[in-house]
Amino acid sequence: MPYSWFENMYTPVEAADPPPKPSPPPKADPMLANRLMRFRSTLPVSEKSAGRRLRVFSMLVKSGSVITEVRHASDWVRMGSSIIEFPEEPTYGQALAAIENDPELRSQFTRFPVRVLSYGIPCTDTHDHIPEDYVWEKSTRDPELPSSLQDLARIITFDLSEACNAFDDPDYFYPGVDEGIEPVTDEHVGLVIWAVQRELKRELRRGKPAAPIDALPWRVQRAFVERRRLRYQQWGIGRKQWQENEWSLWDVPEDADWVPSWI
Amino acid sequence: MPTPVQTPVTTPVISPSESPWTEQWTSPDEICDQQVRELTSPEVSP
Repeated sequence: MPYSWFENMYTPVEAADPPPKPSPPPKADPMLANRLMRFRSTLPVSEKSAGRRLRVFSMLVKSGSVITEVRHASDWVRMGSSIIEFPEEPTYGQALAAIENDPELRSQFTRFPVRVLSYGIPCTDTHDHIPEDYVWEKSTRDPELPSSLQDLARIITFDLSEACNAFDDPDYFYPGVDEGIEPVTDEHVGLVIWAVQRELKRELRRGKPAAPIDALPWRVQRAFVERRRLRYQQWGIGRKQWQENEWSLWDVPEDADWVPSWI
Repeated sequence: MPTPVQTPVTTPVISPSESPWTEQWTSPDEICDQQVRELTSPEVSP
C-alpha cells in the first residue's frame, strides 16, 4: 500500500488516477481566420493567410485568452474583459467577427494614425513640396506607416523593386494605373520619388549604392507613383484619411480571398 | 622636402543593375520591416 511522504503522519494515499496527459498544442492553422490569437506585432513576410482586413486586424491585436482593456489610437489594442469574453480562446476570425458586431468595440478600431514616428507615436509632419533647405542625414528617421499596415508597406516596396527592372531593360513593361485613382501630377511624381530616394540612400546594402530611382524612365517613375496611390486606396486610405492622419480598420476592404502577391 | 604625391581616390562605378534594388524582392531579410514602412514615405500624400 502506497504511503505519502509523511507516512507516519498521514493516512495512506490511495493510488490516484494518473493525471491526464496534456493536450498537444494546436498546430498553426494555415488560415489566419482559424488560428488562435497569439501575441504578434506584425506578420512575417512569408505569411500566406488570406484576407486583407483580417491580416491587418491580426497585426493590430495583441491576444489573450480573456480580452482586456480597450485602447485605441495607437498601433495596437487590447480588448476589455468587461466588454466581451469568449468561452475559450478565440481565433482571429472569431475575435474580428465579435468586434465587428459590437458597436462599442467596433468604434475602437476607427482611429489609427496613418503616419507614425518611433514606437507608434502619431506624426503630423508632412511634405507637399520638395524642401529647398533639406539636409540629408543617414541617422535621421522619417515617419513610417504603423506596423499594422505592414502589408501595405510591403506591396509598395515590391512595386518599387519591380520598377528597378527598368534599369536593366529600359523597355521593361511596368504599367501604371489608368482608372480608379485621381491622376497624379508631374510635381507629385517628383515629390514621391524624392522622398523614396531619401530612404533608399539610408538602406544601403553590402556597400552598394542605392538605386537611383530618379534615373528610371519617367514613365516608370510615374507608374510607380500611380501604383502607390492605388495601394493606399486598396487599404482604405485616401486623401481624407491622409489629411486627417486617421484610418479605420473598417475602411480596409474585407477581401477575404486576398493573398500577398509577393509570395 | 619632396612634396608627397597624392593618389587620386576613385569611386568604383557600379551599374544600377548591380544595386540590390534591381533584384526581385525574394530576400526579406535584406530589409527589415521598419525600414520597409519608412520607405513608403507616408509624410507625402498618396
